Amino acid sequence: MKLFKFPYLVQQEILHNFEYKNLLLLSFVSKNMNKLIKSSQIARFKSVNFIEYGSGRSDEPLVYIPHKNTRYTILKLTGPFENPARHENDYFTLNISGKIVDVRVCIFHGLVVFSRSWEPVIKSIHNYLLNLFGSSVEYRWTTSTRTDLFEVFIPRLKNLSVLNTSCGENDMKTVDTYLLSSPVIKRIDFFIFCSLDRGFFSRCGYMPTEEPFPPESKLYQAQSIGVTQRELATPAVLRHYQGRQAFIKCERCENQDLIEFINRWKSGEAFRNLEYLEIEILISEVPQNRIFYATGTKYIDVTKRSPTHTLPKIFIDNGDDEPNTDPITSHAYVVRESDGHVASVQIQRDTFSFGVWDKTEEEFLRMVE
Amino acid sequence: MAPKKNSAKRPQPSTPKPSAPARIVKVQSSDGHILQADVRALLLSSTLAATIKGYDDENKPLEKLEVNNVVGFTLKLVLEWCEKHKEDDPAIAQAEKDKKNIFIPSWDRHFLTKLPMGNLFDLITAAYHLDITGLINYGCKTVANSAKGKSTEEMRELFGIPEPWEQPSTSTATWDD
Repeated sequence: MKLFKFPYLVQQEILHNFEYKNLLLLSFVSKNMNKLIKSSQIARFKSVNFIEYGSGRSDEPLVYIPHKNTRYTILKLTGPFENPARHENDYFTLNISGKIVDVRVCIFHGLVVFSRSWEPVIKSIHNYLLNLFGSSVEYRWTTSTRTDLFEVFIPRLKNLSVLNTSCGENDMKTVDTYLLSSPVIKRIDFFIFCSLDRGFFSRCGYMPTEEPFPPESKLYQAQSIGVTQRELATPAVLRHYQGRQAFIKCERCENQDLIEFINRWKSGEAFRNLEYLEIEILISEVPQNRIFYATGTKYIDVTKRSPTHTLPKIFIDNGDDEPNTDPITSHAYVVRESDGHVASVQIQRDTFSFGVWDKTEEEFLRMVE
Repeated sequence: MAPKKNSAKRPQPSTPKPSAPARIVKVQSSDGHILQADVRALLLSSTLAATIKGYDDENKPLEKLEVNNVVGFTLKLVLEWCEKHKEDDPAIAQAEKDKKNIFIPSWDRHFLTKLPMGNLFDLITAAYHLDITGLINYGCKTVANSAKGKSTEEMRELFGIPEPWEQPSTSTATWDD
């Protein structure tokens, strides 16, 4: 059978029926096949919103592609001691963007690439995928959650736009150094924790002033940020964030820090780009009256219906995720002194929500029914 | 009992239904072989259906259909497949194609996988010329499935992909345009 002799529409149909791992492998067979795949599968590749580099139970990088709201593994990078029983064939060599590697096809993980040195190989794989799928696909890197066993590993990859990292106190410097010399990343998710047994952290309670990243860190410049932090009392994001949408989960948050946040926004001194902030505080509740009083919060007449604030999310994890920010319908609002723009403020037990309107107070009040 | 997954989408095996007596016509291949087929089976081909409709509209007796681009051996396979599927709803095949969610029933899997790759190639090409959606779907899926677990060299051999230094033979391929 000569695949190239089929009419183009049949070639297209055959390739469309290929599983991604086999299509990826077929693309290595020849340059012309690679070209055919790219040209005939444009619509299919357009539906690939992201390619994610993650890790399984160990820290071995896996490459996922979304498939029907799940993640489908197309490639795995591993050391030389992979269990041979799971493979469909013997080793063969592959030239991935100039890097010669040994490969096998695995029932569970698509292509398994064997290497002792991961960083140069993952770079070659990424360059290959970037060429095949194009730059419109979102490329994501997720570090291992087993921070107790593995060091944070983030290779320098072109067009990486999402970083999802779990880091303890020893890894923060690694993450910060990585960000320092990288272009600004669209979305950063980090799960941050500190071991209270080590170093200057002591078991005397929460560290109220600890800042895991320096204020000038590029982490705070991400357009969208998701933070889950434990043990540190106040999310530093609340002081230094310069991006548009922030989603924070923390165990505690000092009232004074919330007050300071609102006042700095009001004065126009900080958070000029902020559109939406959501803080979920796991242990303590937020004293609504105290915060509103200390920030000079204004109120819409309680007999009237306040407008609902919601925005398209900059980052959507999966196809089935809610595409918009949680609606804020609150009678409380604050006004920024510099341009008169309004932000709705909502405090519901343990959740603080802040939604900035692209409207002046006058325009905002016109929406009130 | 657990509900059957996608049962509504999958073509069901043909079951005999009380219907009008079969209308048998002759079909001639490009190399002169004459075969016989039920018109209901031929209607799975949009190309042949249009020809048959033309005859019927003009009330002309349909004695023989000529299929100029398919040889006898392949045409026999096409007719065997069409005969098996003559009771199927063509909308299902189209829906499967549109959704790109093709499930190959066991009869078809057996029918297609037993063919040498060369014959499968001819069958898919014939299905394309005769515009038989279901057969194209299953044929293409079968070809794609045949790549499972293959190395790059095995794929090269299976699909006749020339080595980088080889010139491709002239064909209908559009890969080098």
